Amino acid sequence: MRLICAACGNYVHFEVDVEMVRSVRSTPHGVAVENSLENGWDDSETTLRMGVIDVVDYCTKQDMDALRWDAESGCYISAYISCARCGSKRVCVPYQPWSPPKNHVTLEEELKLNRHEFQWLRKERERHADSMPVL
Amino acid sequence: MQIQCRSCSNHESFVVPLWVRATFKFDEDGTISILHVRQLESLEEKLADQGKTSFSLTCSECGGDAQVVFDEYSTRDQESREKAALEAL
Repeated sequence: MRLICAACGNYVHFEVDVEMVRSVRSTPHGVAVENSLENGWDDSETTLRMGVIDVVDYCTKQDMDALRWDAESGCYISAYISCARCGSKRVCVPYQPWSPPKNHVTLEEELKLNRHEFQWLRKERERHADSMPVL
Repeated sequence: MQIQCRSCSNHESFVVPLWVRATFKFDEDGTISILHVRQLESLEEKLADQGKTSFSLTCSECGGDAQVVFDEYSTRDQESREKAALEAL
């Protein structure tokens, strides 16, 4: 589950607006719009797929930066993605990637616990630095 | 109507970005499948708005800006009239 609609609970189907490159070809009967093919590579399909993936990755990673405050509804809404079932834009990530475990240790305690390992790491780095060949 | 490239002589193939609304779903393995694509902009409106907005209709061969000529026959008529007038003189 990467995204969820806070209005209806949908976490599968969504909608997003992206830019897609199309080819415009002049014909004797007018203008024909079709997929842009370059050496057998469908550029239109690639731009569409990459556009969707980029927006989803951005919204998943940035979370709050991808949301904006909507004064009418009085809640945060997604600036890019909407729910394909109910049409709501209250789409966000369903959880924080990091959540404190039950035996939670504060950062300060964790640094103290790992102090010896860090000192060993620094010594190891200095030893390797001394043994580097001199040109 | 005729589309011409301003840099080269190409007048057949061009590229334009168009906004579309893609409906997609997350598969069980986390990949994304596209269900439906709906065009949000009409190409006719984009071509008609040429000059008012920058929509970057570009040549597919050289990448240069393209120019849309809506009444190419009238300009040709005018050129032929001017030519005939000069010949008459």
